[in-house]
Amino acid sequence: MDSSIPQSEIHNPQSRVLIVDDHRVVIEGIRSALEGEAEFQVVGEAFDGHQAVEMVKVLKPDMVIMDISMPRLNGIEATRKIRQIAPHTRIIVFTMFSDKEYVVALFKEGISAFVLKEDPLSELILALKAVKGFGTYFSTKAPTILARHMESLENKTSDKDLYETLSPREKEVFLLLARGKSVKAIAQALFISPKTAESHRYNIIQKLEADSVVDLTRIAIRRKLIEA
Amino acid sequence: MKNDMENCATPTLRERAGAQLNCSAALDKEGAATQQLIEELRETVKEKNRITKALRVSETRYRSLVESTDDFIYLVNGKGEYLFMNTRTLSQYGLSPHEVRNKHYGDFHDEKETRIFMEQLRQVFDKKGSLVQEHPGKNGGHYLLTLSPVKEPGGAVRAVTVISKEITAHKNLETELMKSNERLQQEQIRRISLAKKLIDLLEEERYRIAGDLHDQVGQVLTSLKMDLENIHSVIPVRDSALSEKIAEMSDKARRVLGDIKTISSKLRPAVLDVFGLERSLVQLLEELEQNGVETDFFRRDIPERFQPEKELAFYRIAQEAIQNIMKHAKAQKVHVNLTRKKKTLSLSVEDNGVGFNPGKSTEFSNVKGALGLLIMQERAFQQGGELTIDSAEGKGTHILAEIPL
Repeated sequence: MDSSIPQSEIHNPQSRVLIVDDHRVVIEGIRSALEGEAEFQVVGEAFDGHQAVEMVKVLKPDMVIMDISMPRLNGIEATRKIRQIAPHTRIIVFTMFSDKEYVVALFKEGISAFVLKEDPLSELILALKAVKGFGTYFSTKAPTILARHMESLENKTSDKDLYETLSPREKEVFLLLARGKSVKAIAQALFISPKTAESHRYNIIQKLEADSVVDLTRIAIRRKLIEA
Repeated sequence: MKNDMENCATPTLRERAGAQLNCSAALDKEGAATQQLIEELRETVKEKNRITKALRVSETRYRSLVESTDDFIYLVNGKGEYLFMNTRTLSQYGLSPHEVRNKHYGDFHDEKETRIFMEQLRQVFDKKGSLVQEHPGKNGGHYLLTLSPVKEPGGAVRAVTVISKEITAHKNLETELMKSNERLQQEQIRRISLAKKLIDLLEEERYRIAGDLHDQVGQVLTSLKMDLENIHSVIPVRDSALSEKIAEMSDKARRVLGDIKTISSKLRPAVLDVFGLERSLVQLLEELEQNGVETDFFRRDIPERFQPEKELAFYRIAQEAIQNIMKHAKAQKVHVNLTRKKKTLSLSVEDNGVGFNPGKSTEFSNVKGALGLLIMQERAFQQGGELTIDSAEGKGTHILAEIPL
């Protein structure tokens, strides 16, 4: 077992929990849900991020159930601060936000569990139990959210054919540029505005990682799209 | 010889018959040459007559030009004394042509007018060039005064021609135009500020409603759902009907909670406020992917965060473009580029869908979807940028928003 875990918690069967949410009704709901669970003892309530950080300093709870959207200091900022001042305190995020951006950002900050408010309350209890055993827990929705994130990472890093990243219009413009046509002539030929044509030129050079229009001609010849 | 010729030539003109006899000797010697001279002289006289006649015609023309016009035309010397007045001027002052001499500009104008005129006169004499000036006349009229120098062969100014043209009607029209232009400008400013206020108001309202939904309704629903779940957990196992009912209720609460989240995120995406434009665009594109549209998002050199009102403008433009694609475009693929060129950020959204005729669409806001396009344009304009729409039926749509950071 991890030697950094405080001995007190190992010997104490009850975990001390701080609930952070700016809505009293939500805190009440969590409280009632935890009443039947002997493993958990609610030691305090905080209504915003600032108060949460202050209470962690004093109470040193084992776990914090943390909302995200709160006045003064939001849950992400509060998590960051708590992880700094009390690295042993584990954080269970309990939120309405299911955007993957939140999930990814929060796990980067070092949270232990992520549960959505729309999930059945039993998920929150499962999360608390998992975290008590020093594990992690994702709400049933979180894995799909994370999978989507992985997918987009894969797409980003995979060695894509740069030319194939061009849109159909960009491919047309690319060929005309490679043949030495001016932006103005291209705009006229394709019946598009000069601004749009210029934006295509700029983006094509960026996408193909070319230095100039001359480079485009070289790429087109290499790909046998035009005669040398 | 020379004398012979002179003697012959002069009488010939006066008295042809006698002279021919007197000069018969000379004629014998110089006959041909003399005859030629006579011919030349005859031609000269004819030419002179022709020129005189032409001069008279030309003078008549000039005179009628000067006399028939409604403009005041007169000639003055350096002291402001009249040398000539056209008929229009004469009749204005009740003078006949021979009374013009010895009359001074000051005789017909007040002290102030005369002082100004003498000053202008001095300028023309000094600078040897024309002077054009507007000046107010009596009874609220307006005149355009042109003073042109009359120069001696050496270049010195001898007199000044003055043409005074009444331009009251022009002037009034000009004032009218200026006023109406000013009104238009004010109207324009009012419209711009109204459009801005409307969009700001729209955003404020959305922000408020999204906040209320998320923070008030959402949290109360959360607690309601939790209450139901808490009740459910304490119901005795034997009471299965009640247990089922409660489970159903908490399920409903859960669904409504999901809906509220979706609605509030559309009204004001928290991801935009917390994580910035790039990540919120990724989220928008995921919605397209979920609707079976392939997407490609290229971005480079984008600042993670910038002015919130500009982030919002870009986000709303992209949101509208993507909404249009889902509603109308029937596209299979969407390419989005977010790039920076110097200090300008460009967002382009290109689809391979059915396209439309943009000329038709933006003219009137009653055309389906046109209001959305107008608002996109307005949002870019308000941030000091520009929106360019390129589309044609069957050719897909390309929307380009360029906003300076």
